[in-house]
Amino acid sequence: MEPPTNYGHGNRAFLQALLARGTLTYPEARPIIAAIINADNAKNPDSEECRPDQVSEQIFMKYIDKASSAVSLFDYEIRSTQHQATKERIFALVNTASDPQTQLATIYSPEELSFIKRVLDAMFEKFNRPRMESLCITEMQAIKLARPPRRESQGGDEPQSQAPVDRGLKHSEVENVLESLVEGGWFEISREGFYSLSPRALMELRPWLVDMYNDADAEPNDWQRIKFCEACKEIVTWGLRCSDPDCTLRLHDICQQAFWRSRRGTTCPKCSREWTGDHYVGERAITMTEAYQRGRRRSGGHRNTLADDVIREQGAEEESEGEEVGGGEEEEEEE
Amino acid sequence: MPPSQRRRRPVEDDGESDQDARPRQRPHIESSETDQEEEASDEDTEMNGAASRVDEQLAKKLIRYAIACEYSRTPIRRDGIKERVLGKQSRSFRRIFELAQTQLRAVWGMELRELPIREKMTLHEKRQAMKSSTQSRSGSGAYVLSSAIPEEYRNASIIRPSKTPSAEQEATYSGFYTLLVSLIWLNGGELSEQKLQRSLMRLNADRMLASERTEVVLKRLERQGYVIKKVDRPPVGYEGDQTITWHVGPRAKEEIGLDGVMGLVREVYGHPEDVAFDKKLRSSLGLKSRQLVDGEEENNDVGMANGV
Repeated sequence: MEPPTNYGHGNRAFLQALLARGTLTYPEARPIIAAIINADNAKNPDSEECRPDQVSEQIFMKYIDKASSAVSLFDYEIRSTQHQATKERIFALVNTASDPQTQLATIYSPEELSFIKRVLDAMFEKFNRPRMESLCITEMQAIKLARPPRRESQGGDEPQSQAPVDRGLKHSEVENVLESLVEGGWFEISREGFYSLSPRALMELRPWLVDMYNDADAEPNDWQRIKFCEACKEIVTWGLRCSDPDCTLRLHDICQQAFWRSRRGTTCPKCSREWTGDHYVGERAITMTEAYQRGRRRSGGHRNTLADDVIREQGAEEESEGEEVGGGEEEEEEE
Repeated sequence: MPPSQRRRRPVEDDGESDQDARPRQRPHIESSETDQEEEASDEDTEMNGAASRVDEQLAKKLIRYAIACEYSRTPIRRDGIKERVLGKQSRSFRRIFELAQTQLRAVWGMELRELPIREKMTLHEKRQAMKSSTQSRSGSGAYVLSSAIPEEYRNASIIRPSKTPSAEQEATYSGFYTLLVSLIWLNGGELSEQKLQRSLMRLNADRMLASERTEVVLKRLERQGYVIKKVDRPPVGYEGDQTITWHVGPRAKEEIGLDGVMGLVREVYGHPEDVAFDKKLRSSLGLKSRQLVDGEEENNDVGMANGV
């Protein structure tokens, strides 16, 4: 368990900078690395000051690589991914092993954690149906999840009365939790007011999401809740889908150009239908619908229930409201 | 899980005394690291490979545990380490702890620092301690994870407020407790409830601190060991009101420290360079001169070690 060679104070400082921020992009890292280089040179009077614009991508990658190999000894890893919408490359320090020790690393109370679990369930189950894969949630919808689903009394002889009752959250607490998830870099909120998982959350939770929401025994072409981009193999929560509703081909917007360039024609490699590029995964599955656009024009800024209306209208919510997704609270999101 | 910047200790120019007081600190890290690595490798040859691999696994677990705890400022306790990390191996605490410490310094640029024992505050408590404590405890058994990178790297463009829960909130919070602890310290280590309230009022923080209720924030500061709230009730059968006083908590002593308080005061006064200011500041903090700082700190350490 030795750190890499030539691993110095500057690399340690870089690791701490990454730890504090959670994620880094190259533009964000440039002033940090410049400051580190200047600190390295602090005792050398002949050195020239390093400016952020002098930090090349190569230098940045060297810091990332060293940090990554150093932390790998401790079951952490630096992963990178591109933002599905903005294409920005994001680096994050990710915990690669889930153990009882690191599950302590949360600032959320058990009630808040079980609320977050309900929100994730809603994103990946309720708002993620074969006909409409929106994979996001509005604040209004989240508020409805403030309390755990009421357990219908099943004969009244349940022995679970000793367990502390999860009373759920107040509406104001829901707002606080959502805000802190956004501030902490786990959720993103769009201009239209939809919450979705951030790149960092997708990187950190990827194995857990697949484990939790996908059926391990499914056939290769079965519809699964967690879908991967045909080109880059990363999770798609904001992207495009084949115009055939039964086809499982998904692509990121940012990947599609290179993908189609590499093959002849633009027919779907899975179902041979012509690729239209106007069927969406993510919030645009809602916001690009006629109904949503119409509704927004009509109601101006007031669109609290618009998303719900659209979802209902599109028949994405086949099951009745009463059918709540239960179980599964034994898992806690480890952050 | 970013604990590092919380332990920023704005040491100004009194680095010398600091080093003398705490031998295991920054400038010595390089040397102590190599020492320990050499020791470890010597042991390695004696130990068989399997045993040292077990040790490394345990040290890794300990480090992950420490980082996870620090994420939410949960105290890292010796008992917690024994229970959650070492399990059956709890007798090898010292060895694993040293190994983890070496790796923490080498890779993360951090170290675990033991918090001081809670001091006896009242005469009554002191008397009790005199009577009972024949056995001396060597330490508090509680640790914080603290950054050990050299001063020149502790710069705002490198180490920023953590994004947990959010950079803004974290900055507000650490700014607030540094100020609060400084106030207590400048008041001779004890601040009455009335004085605290008056100060909070002046800061416009008597009811709300940003978006949180001040009451809630104070509770959290107490829980995390930044401050100690002491409630004195009159003895049974006597008339009188209870008095509340606020004291500096063990975490604040380690994380902020006297040099942190001095740094804050100097910052507020715009870094005055005159000797008179220095003298005033030191006398406000109950220090006479630079020489005495070392002496006092050492005395304190000895006092703590004896559990007095």
